[in-house]
Formats: sequence, structure tokens, C-alpha cells
Amino acid sequence: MAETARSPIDPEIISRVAQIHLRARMVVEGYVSGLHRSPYKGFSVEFAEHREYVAGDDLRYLDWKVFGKSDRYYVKQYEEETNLVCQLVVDVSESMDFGTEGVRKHDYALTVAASLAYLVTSQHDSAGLVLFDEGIRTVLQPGSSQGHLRRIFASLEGAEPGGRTSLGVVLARVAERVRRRGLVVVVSDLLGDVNEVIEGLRRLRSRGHDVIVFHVLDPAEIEFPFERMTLFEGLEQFPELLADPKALRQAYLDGVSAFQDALRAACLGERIDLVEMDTRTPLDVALSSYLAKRAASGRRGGRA
Amino acid sequence: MIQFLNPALLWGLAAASVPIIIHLLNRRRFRRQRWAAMEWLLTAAKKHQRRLQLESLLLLLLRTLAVLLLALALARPYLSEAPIALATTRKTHLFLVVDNSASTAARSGLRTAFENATSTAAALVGEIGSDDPVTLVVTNDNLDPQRPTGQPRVVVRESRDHEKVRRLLGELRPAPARADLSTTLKALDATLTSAEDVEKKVAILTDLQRTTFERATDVTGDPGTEDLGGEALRVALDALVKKGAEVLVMPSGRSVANVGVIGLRPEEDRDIVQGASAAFIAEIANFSDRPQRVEVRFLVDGEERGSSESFWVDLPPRPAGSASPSARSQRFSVRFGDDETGPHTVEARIPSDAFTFDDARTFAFGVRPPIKVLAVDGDPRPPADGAVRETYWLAPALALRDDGPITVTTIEESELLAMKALDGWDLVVLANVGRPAPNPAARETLEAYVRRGGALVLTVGDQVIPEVWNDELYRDGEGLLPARLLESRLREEAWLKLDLGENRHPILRDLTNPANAVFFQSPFLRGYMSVDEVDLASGANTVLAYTDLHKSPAMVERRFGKGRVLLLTTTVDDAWGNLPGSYLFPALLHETVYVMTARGNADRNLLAFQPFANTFPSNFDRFEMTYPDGSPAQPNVETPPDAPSFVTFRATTRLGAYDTTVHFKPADILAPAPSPKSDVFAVNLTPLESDLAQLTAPEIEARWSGLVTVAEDLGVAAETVRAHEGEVHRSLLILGLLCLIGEVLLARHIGTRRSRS
Repeated sequence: MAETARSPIDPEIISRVAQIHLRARMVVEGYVSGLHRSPYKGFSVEFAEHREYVAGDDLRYLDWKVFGKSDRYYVKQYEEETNLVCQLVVDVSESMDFGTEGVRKHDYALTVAASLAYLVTSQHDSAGLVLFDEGIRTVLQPGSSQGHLRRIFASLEGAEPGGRTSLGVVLARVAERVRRRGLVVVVSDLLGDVNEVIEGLRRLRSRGHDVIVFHVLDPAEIEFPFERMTLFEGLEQFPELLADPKALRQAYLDGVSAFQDALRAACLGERIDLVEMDTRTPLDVALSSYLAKRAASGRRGGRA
Repeated sequence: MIQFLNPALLWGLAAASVPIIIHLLNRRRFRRQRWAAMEWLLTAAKKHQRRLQLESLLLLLLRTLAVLLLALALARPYLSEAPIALATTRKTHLFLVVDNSASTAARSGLRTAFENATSTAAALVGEIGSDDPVTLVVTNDNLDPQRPTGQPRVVVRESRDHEKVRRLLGELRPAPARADLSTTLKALDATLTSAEDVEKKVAILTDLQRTTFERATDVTGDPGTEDLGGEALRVALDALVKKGAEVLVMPSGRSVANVGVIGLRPEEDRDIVQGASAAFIAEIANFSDRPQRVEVRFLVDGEERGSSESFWVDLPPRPAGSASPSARSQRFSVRFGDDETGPHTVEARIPSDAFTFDDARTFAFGVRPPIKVLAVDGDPRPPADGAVRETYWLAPALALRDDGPITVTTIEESELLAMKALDGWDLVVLANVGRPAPNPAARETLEAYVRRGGALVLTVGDQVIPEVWNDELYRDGEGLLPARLLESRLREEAWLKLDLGENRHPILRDLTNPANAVFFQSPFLRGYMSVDEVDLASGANTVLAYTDLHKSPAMVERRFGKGRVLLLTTTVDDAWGNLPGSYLFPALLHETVYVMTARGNADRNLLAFQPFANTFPSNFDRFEMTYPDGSPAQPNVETPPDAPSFVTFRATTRLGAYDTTVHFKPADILAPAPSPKSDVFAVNLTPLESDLAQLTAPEIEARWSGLVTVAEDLGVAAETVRAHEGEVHRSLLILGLLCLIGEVLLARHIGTRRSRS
């Protein structure tokens, strides 16, 4: 049952695909085909300038009329209409290097980010990328071209988990860097001090950004299903702990609930979309959240 | 100071390390898990770690303690010099009750139940602490061969000399008597202290013979004190238990099939007279549930005699559920010649079986010379024509043959008065004597004769004037006459008879037996001498009555001193009726003589442990006695200065015939010593002891529920007698169990709490 009911954008299936751009494409196209309506319709493309052809340019964009007149190869360049700037802020700290259901949080988060980037750029919006651990590791300014998308994919593919999480500091810096108001999508397990996390998100909001937080956790982190005596080896330089999980379960779950409650309350107050995901959650949830948010921001911006 | 009964088991203490090792191993057996949300986990751990560690340590402590305590308990520690206030200083006081009644001599397999019992008892002594006291009680005391009582006896009281106890156990022997368990336990009860610091363990080692438990009779087997419900035993056990004793019954023997001679007696209840045939009846009983065929042999004075002294007797099996065995009687007769007066024995014997005490039975008796009867004729010359003298019919009717068992001498009244003493006669008949005691001397002669054991028969007639007889013989009840005479009631015609309806009196038992009615019928009589109401309080009673309306007494008897007097209220001639002409007359006379002169053999036949006693005449010199095996016995002879010498002998512990000889002093130095007088007495086993039927362990535990425990296995018994040896190991066991229970409850509590989470 579970096998037959699986969606083509099931995280476990997607995770088997090595190339992140293929993953992103599978997610988005699988999602879009489910909508029965092409997301490409209704978007206009504006001609920008001619540029001399260089090897590797797509021959489809050769301007044959100019070639007929001047016998020189020019390609047409278009400026795609950019409606929205979406900054993807993705956590690649060591704590993301954890997964019990065959999917690491890291891979899941990157797939979410890649899929969003793919979707964003396919809708002629601009997508930027910030990878962070205890500091900002990689920044790609927003762009909407295919080349930019490839760079995003390349950055994502090259990101290995490591380093501690310091989300409060990172979000403050992102808020400073991203001047143009837009959509900031944070993909992280948010492990850290809840107050620092909330403070960072507030700063983004105070800069006028719409914020979506994809809170990615592993199912084990939510349910704590261990029975036998276990030596927990802490990531991000936390010490080891030998414990009887049954004895600690309730206290642990209480701690998780307290964190989530505080986060939910803060997000509600700041009108931040909080999407709680575990690595079993189908990836289209992330896309739906994005589209809903984009639609809302579009309405606010006076576009149909 | 702590000592251990099973120090080898102290190795078990090492087991206490097992929970710790398991705990440590468990801590090493864990899975590794990389974990991202460490901050949440550490917060949770920090919050509960102390409680978790405490719980874990507590569980470990309880587990370790439980194993430690159980291991320690198995080593059976005891405190030898602890303060009295500690319950742990309790000792075991072992009370050994050894059933050495006759039935324990029954052999089951290679050993007797008694041998099993004593070896078990010795083994039990080895199971208690070396400093623990032992009290040894036997059901039938026979330790001192000179003064055995056969009664329950505390042989050793509270002795710590276990070697001595074992030695005494080795010296014990089965006694040919019954055990009275309730009396034995009462004797033990007297030795029980109510001290709280001593564990009282009573071990009854018995063959479980049913009669030992169900009947509380004395050693003579007197069935008058039957106690079939075991109530006396219940009372005795209850008293012990109330004093804190724990009572164990340890079976020492298996059920044994037994056939025994349970009785041997003369066929007729009278003395055996020389020249007459004597018959004996032996009773053979089968106590088993299988039919038996046994050969019964009779020995006279230890020798086979006659031609038919051996008989085969077929005994059916004992009826299922019956309290009585199946028994058969075997008759044996023998004739003693003229030269055989004196003491004799007859013995009935069957082949030896597993229980030998009842394979033979002996009866001792005396063969007496012919009975000498003195007939005093009160009417030797009757004036009337055709009349005969008073003893005309009497004398020939008594002495039917010249060499018969009765000889009769007839004298006249005047000759009687001339006699100074009558001691040479076995029986004196005063037949129609008008003045039996006309002066005090004559009266004293008569009375002295009867008082010393003589038999006197008084018959009436026309010479008897009631007032004279009442004056000389009745003397207001003080004299010899059994009843006051009133008057003669005579008619011309014969009008009444003797009432020969069935009568149990020894004189009339055979004569009135309905089977003999055709021979013995009463003739009609013309009358009788009436008597006043018979005074039963004086010892008088009516033996035979007439058939008149008032059932007037025809024969009245009375004991007088050691002798007996019988009054016949009619004549022994034909003056008042035709009694002498009837078949009844000689028979009645003979029966009367035999019964009146019977000395019996009760003194010669004892049950084991019944004391033998006798007195001697003044010229007594010395007394000798031998046991049945011929070895000399040491009876206790006393010669008080102002009383007859007497002998007592208590050691009647061997079954069979004991020979005795009394030697007399000569009248003076020159005179020859009178010849010694030999006699014999027999000692037999009570027949109750022959029934070896056993109670089962469940029956005992059900009937004396809550009072006794049956331990068929020495190991179980040993465990029980050691069980409370000091309270240390019991306390340790309890503590260990409490630790286990605490561990289980705590673990369950923790588990429940965790599963809820």
C-alpha cells in the first residue's frame, strides 16, 4: 500500500537521484503535472540586446535576420520579467547530516531548495541562495537565468554538511545583505536557541521580507523511538550521552514540544509561514507553500 | 559468633556479583546513535538524570541483596553466642518418641520397623546442632531388665550428650506390649518447658499401627478404655502444640501380613482334674487380606503329646474394611493321668512369620487331684417307711466312678461336730443338717473353712428349722447362710419345677443351654423352703429359681471370705420331690462341685509386663524362678517380720512359661525339709498387638489435622528439625524474598511510568 501510494515526489524516491537538478526537475514537474495547468503560461519575455555569438551559446537564440544582413553571428538576449526575488537560505551545518529514514535532513533540505529554485526560475522570478552553518558559507545573488539556476544547483551539490549552527547570527547578516524586499525561504532544522532563531526571523520581517521557514526534522527527532540503552553521539561538538531512551523520552518530547510551541507562537505573531516538515513529508508541500506565498505577495504587489 | 551449618554453600555468596555483572554488561551493551538534537536530549537528561541513576542503583541494590541473602540463608548461619534478646539464638530441642511396642518387631524386608525407627532417630540426632538438647522417650520402658514397667518413660531428659542418646537408642529393644501414644505424649509434655528461645521438635518414630493411634488402653490391653476416635491422642497433641512444639510422625515400617495365635484357653471354665480329659481352644487369626493355611501344633509341657497335636487351619482373608481379623478356633484335648497332678502348660504354635511375638501362646494351669467332697447327712435314719437317708442319692450321684474326679465321704452330723478343721476337704455338703453350728466352736470351724477358700453347700429338709438356721448360720447377714430362711412351703402333690430357662451362671450355663434341653428337664417338686428377699448388697444372689408365681429362689449363693456358700432350698433326697430321680440331678451336682471348687488359673496367666505376685506360708525358705528360656530370674522376695513373706516380679518381658519353685524350712532341725513346691505361670502378648494394620499418612494428617505432620522421608524430617535452628536463615530468606518482591514492584512501577511516556 505504502509503496503504491507513493507520489513521484516522495522524498525517499527523489533522494535516490544523484543530480540535484534532476531532483529539482522531478519534483517541480511532478508537482506541476499534478496541477493540470502549465505554470509557464501568462509570463511575458522582453528583448534586451544582441550579443556576439560565442561557442556554447544555444543556437536557438541565433538571430538569423542579423546574420543575413551582416553575415555575423549574434544571439538575442532577453530580460526575463522578474516579479519576485526569492532568497533561499539553506542550513548546511553538521546537525543536518542526520537521518534515520534513509534520507538525511541535509539532502532533504537541499532538494527543497533546488526544487524551489527551479520553480522560482521557471516562473521568471529571481532566486538567490545563501548556504550557512555557523556563518554564511556561500552567497549567490538572485538571478533568474538558466545559467544562474545551474550555479545554484552547483552550489547546492557542492555543499557538504559541517560546522555548527548559528541561525540568529546568519539571519541577521542575510537581513543586512538582502536590500530588495522579497521572499526569504529558510530551510533548516533550527537547532539552537529558540530565542535567537526567532530574533533572526524578526529581523528579516522588519526589513519587509516575506518569510517562509521550512523546519526540517528527522522523524526520530520528533518521536524519539529508541528502546535499548543507547550512546548518543552528539553532532556539532556536543558531548556523548549514554542513556536509557525509555527513561528520557517524556522529558525529551516535552522539550521538543516547548521549542515548537515557542516557534509557532513567534511565527504566528510575525506572520511568518512556518512549515514543519520531517524527511518523510512529500516535497510538494514546500512548493505549495511557496506558490501560496507568491500569490499572496503578488496580490500585495498589484499583479494578477 | 556466626557459624554455618553448610559452610560449603558460602560459595553461593559469589552469586551476589551476578546482578552487578549483568548491570555492567548491560551498560556495555548499547547501540550507538549519531544525534543532532543533542541540546534537547541533554536538557532532558540533565533534568532526570539524578532520579534515573537513583532508580537504577536501587534496583541493582535490591537484586544484589536478594541474591546475597538467599545465598547466605542456604549456608544456614546461626549465632552461637548472641544475646538472648535476639530471636536468632533459638536452639532446637529434639524430642524423640520411639514406639517400641511389640508390633514394631515385625520384619518388613531385612529390617524390623523398630530397627528402622532407631536408626532414623540416631540420624535425626545428627541433624541438629551439636549443642542442641535431646530428650528420648519410649512408649514401653524395658531398658532396665530388672525393673521394666512397659509404661511410657522419659529415658533421657534434655541431654546434650548425643553419643549417649545414640548408645541408648542402640540398647532399646521392642517390648511385647501395646504402645499408648497419648500417655507417652503426656509423659513428654511434662518435660516440655515453655521457654520461647527453644524450638521444640517432637519426632514420633512409629510403625503407624492403627491401634497405637486409635486406642488408649493400658499395657494389659484392657479394652475398657477404648478410644477409637483418637480423642485422647488429640488432647495430648493439642497440649504439645499449645506449648509451641511441632510434631512430626515418621513411619518406620511397611504393612506386614500377619497370622497369629491370639487366644488359648481351656474349653470349659473349670479346673482340670487328674484322670479327666481336658480340652483347650486355640484361636488363630488372619490379619492379612489374603487367605492363609497354617499348621497349628500343640505342645504339652513343651513336648508333643498324643497323636493329633498338629492341625491344619484354613483362614479366609480379613474382610475388607473390617476392624476384626478372620479367626478360627482349633480344639485340642489331652488327658492327665493320676500321677500328673501339679502345674502344667499347653502351648499352641504356628510356623514363624514376619511377626514372631504372636506365633505361639502358652496357657499355664494346675491339674488337681480328685475333688474331695464331705457329705454330712442330717437325716441318716429317717423314721418313715420307705424313706432313705438324706445322702442316699447324693453320694453316688457325685462319685459316679471310683476313680472319677470326685470322691465323696459321708458322715453324720455328730461326726461333723467332732471335727476341729475341715481344711482337707474341697467341698462340704450339709444335707438337711438340723444343727449345723450348735456352738461357737463348731460355727468357727465352718466359717474358718469357708473363709480360707472352702466351698460349702447347704441343702434343707424336714430337719431344718428356719429359726435355728437363721440363728446359727444367717446371724443377721453376718453368717454363712446366703439368705434368711422363712418357712417350708409343701403340698401333698408335686406342683412346681426348677426354672431351667437359659441361665448364664457357670453352674447352669451348660445345663440350661437349649441344645441340652432334651436331657435336662426339671422334675415336679412338692415344695421348697422359702427365703427372705436376697440381699444383693451382702454379695448374695439367686442362681436358680422355681417356676412359681414369685420365682422363689431355688439356689442362692454368696461369697464368704475366699470361699463360697451355696444354699439349695429343697432336699437332695426324694422327700420334697423327685429331683434325685432326674437326669438333671447328677449333672447339677457335678456342675456345682466343679464351679464351687474351681481355683482357676488367672494368677498363672499374665500379659507381658503384668507383675507376678504370690505369698508364702510361714515355713517359707526361698523362692526360685526361671525365664522361659531356662535362664534364672531375680524376683523380689520380701519377708516382713510380722506378715507372710511375698514375692513380686515385674520383669515379665519374655513370652512363654516361667517355672517357679518354693522351698520350705523343716519344722525343726532334725525333721526333714518338706519337699519343694513347683509351679508355673505363662506370659503372653496382648492379642490387640497382633493386628498390624496401619494408618496411612493422609489418614493421620486428616484426623489430627493441624497437630501433626507426617514425614515419610528422613530428608524432609531432618529439614524440619533443623528448620528453625536459630531464626537466622529464616529471617534471611524472608528478607531475601522481600528484596525480590521490592525489586519486582519497583521495576514494574518504573516500567509502567516509562511506558506511559
